[in-house]
Amino acid sequence: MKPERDIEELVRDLRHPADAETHDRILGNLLSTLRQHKKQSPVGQQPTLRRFVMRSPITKLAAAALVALAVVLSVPLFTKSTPTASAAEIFYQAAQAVNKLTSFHIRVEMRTPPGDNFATIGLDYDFVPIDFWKQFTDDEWGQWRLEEPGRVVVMDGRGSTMLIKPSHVVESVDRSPERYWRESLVELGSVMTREAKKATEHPADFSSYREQGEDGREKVVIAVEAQARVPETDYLRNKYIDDSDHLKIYRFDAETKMLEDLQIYVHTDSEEVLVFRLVQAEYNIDLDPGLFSLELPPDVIRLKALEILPDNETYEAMTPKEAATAFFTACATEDWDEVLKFLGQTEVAQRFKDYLGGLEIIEIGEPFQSSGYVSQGWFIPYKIRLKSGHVKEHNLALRKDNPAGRFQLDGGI
Amino acid sequence: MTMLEDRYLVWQLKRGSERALCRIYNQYETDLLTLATHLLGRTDQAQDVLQDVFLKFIESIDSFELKGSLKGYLATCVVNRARDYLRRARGHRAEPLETAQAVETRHSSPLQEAIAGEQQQRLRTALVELPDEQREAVLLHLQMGLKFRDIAHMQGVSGKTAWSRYRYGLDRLRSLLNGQAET
Repeated sequence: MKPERDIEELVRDLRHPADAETHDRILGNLLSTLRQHKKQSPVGQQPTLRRFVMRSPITKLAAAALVALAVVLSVPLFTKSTPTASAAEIFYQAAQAVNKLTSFHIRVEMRTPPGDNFATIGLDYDFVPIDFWKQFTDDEWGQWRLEEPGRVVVMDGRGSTMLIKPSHVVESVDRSPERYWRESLVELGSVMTREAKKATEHPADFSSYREQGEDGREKVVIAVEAQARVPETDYLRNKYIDDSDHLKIYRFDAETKMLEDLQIYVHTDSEEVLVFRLVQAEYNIDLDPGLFSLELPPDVIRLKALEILPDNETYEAMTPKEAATAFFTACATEDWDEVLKFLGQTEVAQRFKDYLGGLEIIEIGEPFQSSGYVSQGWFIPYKIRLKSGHVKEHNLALRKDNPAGRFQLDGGI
Repeated sequence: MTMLEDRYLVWQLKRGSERALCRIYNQYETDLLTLATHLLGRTDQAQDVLQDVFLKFIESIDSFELKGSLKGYLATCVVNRARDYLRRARGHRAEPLETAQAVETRHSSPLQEAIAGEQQQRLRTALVELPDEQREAVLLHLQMGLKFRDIAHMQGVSGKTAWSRYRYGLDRLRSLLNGQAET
């Protein structure tokens, strides 16, 4: 006698996948039909907006762009019984809700190097946790701490200090330069305001709908579709969220307007890769004041602006390729004073010396630029053999937008 | 695939996204083809049903409203279309699954594969013997993961009746398989 559970399993196991020919044939026919359909029914030729919005969440999604535009134009499309708000309105309300907080803590996970600039992404990288704590004060900037495994930035209310942990490199600046979290999507007030502005300017990229949450509360979901800032062939393509075609999905509590979830998917030709996800959001919590002070190790190396050298003209005259060659040659000969001329810091970290000292230059390629990088920045392809024997092939980033007017290392090691 | 992804893909498809169509098709092709194949007992017709369902889906996408899961919706379409085929072909049903060799198995050793292959062939034969509504209930619940509430809605009966059809279907399958094993 065959047990019932076995039969259930047997039925579940029955699979009938299409062979490759069938798959290609049917999908080809479907794509052809879709193309034909697009010609006959271009997007936008839809029935009345009001019927759409009244009927179901999914049609709200499709119509939301038009709704947003209508709200911006102050067209009273909805009555109070259909409280559908534009994406711009929701983001403005969310920004206002953030401004009323006393504190918050956000933990996100991003596919990024663990000690990088909180913004670089890589589709193949592992997820790295990034925490942001903010204590609002009477001061404009408040106090905050931004931290990932290899780097931390603390704003104590007077100025901010960044510590790159493995190298003990430190940068201290007055007040709160937004650059640390400008692209990190953790400073909620800034994020909401920025998205609200974009939703006002480009409503068609924003879609929203409401749904019932697992907690029984109503949620507002906003999907933001964004095109990459750089062309498809650009070196920086998919290396930053804004340099990729991507989709952001925000989820707010409909009543409190507080952010509850955020996921970001990068589109490639073949797939959507989740590169960013909110894993924890806490509002109005007691934060340990110790979070907003940073104890530095005794042997820190400080970042500083490049100084004008006695022979600065020699360096100013260098082409990107010459500068890259000079930099790697100095590493090869372990001439750290020379290396320092390209670094803009008080000394060369021992970790840096151990890694690059005694390298062998195999090839320096032709420099190129990216529309997503500073206008005076260049990428120089290189191939070197490290002392360990490992051959490294990458692109050195050099930029010249500094008071000394000579090339400075900006990444790519 | 989550409801949110479904909704987003449908939204993209409404905007004419070929990528969204590919993702939806690739996601559900095997499940729907398996369902159609076992509802109809014929691979060629199952492929036609699959294509018909997606063509209709594309043609009606402008006014389409997703009220539940996309998988559930597409499964409903497959069931309805398969019923049309069965009505037309009633009395002319082919031998079950003439392309049994194309069926994917999940077993590693040759012996396991052989045993599983034989079991599956017997199961496919037994499935064809079930009344249509019992076969639908069994396949929709076990292969598509649909709840009895949804199956009931699809069949226009109460949830209890859908559940009963599923139980009767399983009992009948067990009886058929055990009967075959004893002969």
